[in-house]
Amino acid sequence: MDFSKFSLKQLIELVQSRQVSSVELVNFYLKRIQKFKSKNAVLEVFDDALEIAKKKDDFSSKHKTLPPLHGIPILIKDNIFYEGHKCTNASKFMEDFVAPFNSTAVQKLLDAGAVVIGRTNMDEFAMGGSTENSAFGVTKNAFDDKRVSGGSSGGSACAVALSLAPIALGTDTGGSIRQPSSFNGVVGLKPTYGRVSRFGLVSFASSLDTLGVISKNVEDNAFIMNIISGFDEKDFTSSKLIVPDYSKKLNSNVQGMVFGVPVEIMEIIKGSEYESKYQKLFEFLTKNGAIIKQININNYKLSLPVYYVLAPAEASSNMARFDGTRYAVSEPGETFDSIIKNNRTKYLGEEVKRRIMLGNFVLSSGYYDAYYSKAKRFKEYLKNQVCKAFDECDAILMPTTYGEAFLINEKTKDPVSMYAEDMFTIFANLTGIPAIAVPFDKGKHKLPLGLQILGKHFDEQTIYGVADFIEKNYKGAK
Amino acid sequence: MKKITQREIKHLSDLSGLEFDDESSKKMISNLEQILNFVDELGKNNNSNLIVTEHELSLNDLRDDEPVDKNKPSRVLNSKTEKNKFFSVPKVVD
Repeated sequence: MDFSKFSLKQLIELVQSRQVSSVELVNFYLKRIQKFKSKNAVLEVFDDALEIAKKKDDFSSKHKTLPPLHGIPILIKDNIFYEGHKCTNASKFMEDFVAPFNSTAVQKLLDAGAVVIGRTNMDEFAMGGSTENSAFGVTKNAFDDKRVSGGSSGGSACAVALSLAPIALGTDTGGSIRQPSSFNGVVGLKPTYGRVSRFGLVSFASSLDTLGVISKNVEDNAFIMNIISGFDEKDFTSSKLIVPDYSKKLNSNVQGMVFGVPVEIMEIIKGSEYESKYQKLFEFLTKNGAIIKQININNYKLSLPVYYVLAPAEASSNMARFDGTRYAVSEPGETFDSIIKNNRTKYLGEEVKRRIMLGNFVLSSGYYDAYYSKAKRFKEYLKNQVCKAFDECDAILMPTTYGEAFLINEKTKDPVSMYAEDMFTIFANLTGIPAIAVPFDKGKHKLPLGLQILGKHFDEQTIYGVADFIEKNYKGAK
Repeated sequence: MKKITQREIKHLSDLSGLEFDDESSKKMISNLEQILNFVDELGKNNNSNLIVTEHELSLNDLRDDEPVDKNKPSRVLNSKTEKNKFFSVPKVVD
């Protein structure tokens, strides 16, 4: 049977009703991964996947009730721990690293019966927006081999688009779930900071890192989010707020809803070929009873420099642990300092080194106040602004990216042009709010474009509802 | 525009635990200057009256300072320099 057209929900029904076995499903996806090997979306297929699937099938033959994700194959990004399996962060530095325990998100999925079949490609240590920084080669776009899959969760997004798994986990520090989802025409949600435990996720910028879901449709995404969300005593930044039912606002409408569209954002895309596509979407929403309201987020553009001070600052501290003694690699050296230098210099990639250097620069004495403190204050300023914005609207609409996926090697020579790609996504990370990317139209190369819907803190429910409505009712050039 | 000197790069690479040869050092200087130039936009704005919170959401109480997971996996599991369940490194004190 060809499962590639099935939603997660349909697959669950097939497994629960014993029409399809876990072994059949796992075999199907393993074959697909093999078929699309040249895309380089999956770094490793776990060799115990089939064996685990067999155990799942044994279980279903003996038990009447099955857990919700029983026997369902999933993929995880290569920076999320799955005990006893490699987790390399797409870095030479961690090429042989084996996860010593389960991340909370993976544990919850395993408890729900899922079968983790492999790990997906990414930018090294999640630093980048194209997977071109992976030490194991770039992931190609699901629809065009000359173009990037985006990043840093480029492997996960490409994999879901090509049905290499029904869903995949990703992480998002500055847009790393939403931008690749947008480039590959799938649905990606960055949850509110603190909604999903970060335990067992390799830290990049701890105050901005989030773990979320990439799926084929909104409903599947909401379903998985309900499983992985919630307080975790192992992550003290995780929230104790009750997790609502994320499916509650699905299949509803946008009647009476107020959508804020930031003037500053529309100015950025003014005159571009995409402006009219957004206008068309806004007209559609208005026709359906919603109110489109212009809002202001003053100094929006400064969110880019703020991010590129704060994220490298935190990254440079987090990366200090990679000293060549504790993890995976071991270049010799006569002194401890030389061991550190030898290993980091040899095994870390260029972008990671750049961010460590930049982070240490903005944190070093003489520059701390000029850069780091200033960026911290500006982050606070943005947060105040977003809270004010939500006094006037239920959700904010904006693009996820400037346009379609860019060409491989188009931006690798100029780090700043690569950083500028994050223009629309980092706002949600800096302010901690949830945001979802949902395909709504296509560009001139017939490649997908993603709309971004941003919600109030912990109001994933509303943005799932809006995304679901657009997915089911809006006819762009999808 | 911010200029970075060779001396600063040396200092930064020491702080970063990295080494650069002449060519990569020149490239790093050029990259960092370019990035700092772009980041300098921040300097033009004044938000000095804002109070900074250290955490996104100050929602949770801290847990009791007691070990919760007594079966913690060995910390040296992934180390290639492990000796008798310790990390082995050259002597750091005289």
